Amino acid sequence: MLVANTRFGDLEISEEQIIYFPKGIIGFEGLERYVLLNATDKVSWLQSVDEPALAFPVVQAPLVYPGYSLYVEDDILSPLGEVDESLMGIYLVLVVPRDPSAATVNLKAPIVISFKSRRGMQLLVDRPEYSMRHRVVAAKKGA
Amino acid sequence: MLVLARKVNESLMIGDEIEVKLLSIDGDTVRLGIEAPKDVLILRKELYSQVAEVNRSAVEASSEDIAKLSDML
Repeated sequence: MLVANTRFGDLEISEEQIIYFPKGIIGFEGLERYVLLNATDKVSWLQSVDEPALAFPVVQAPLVYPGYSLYVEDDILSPLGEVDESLMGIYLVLVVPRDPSAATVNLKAPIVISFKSRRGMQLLVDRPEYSMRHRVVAAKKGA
Repeated sequence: MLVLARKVNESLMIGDEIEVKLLSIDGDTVRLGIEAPKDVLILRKELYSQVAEVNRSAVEASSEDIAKLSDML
């Protein structure tokens, strides 16, 4: 299978790499198939299989927010099918502006992926302490 | 759009599992009570719009800036 991909050129991907988002991703409705690609050793791209121009960076939640919790009833995760916690990833959408040190993640809308069922979904966690623009690089003192 | 008039303490059903009850009215604010199955997520609509906006702004990132950021993490 071939994915035409404006950002990374044409990319061969196998069926096993595809993560199915039955409910799509908010703002990108109608697109249900994505692949997770390494951008760096810490950041991944979530690339749409069906829309080459659509790729956005995500980062594993514990890396930028230790102790991050979803606070959801298990039933909410039912679109993921069979979930094995050791094969589950919680990612946060990363917004990287011109000044990368000002990058933020959206703590209110994690992307949860079950690698066992190869399904994913974007959750909404409306907790007051979760910012939609949480800075990931601590402000440098006196710099 | 279906429009229904409801008085305080009256409800309506969406399907046979979701009940929306009008609890109180105060000026331009109404309080609603919602009973729904646990797998139904109920959120304020503004949140969806805000998340869509953040998601779309994430697409603008460049590989170079991500590499620079990654070194700071």
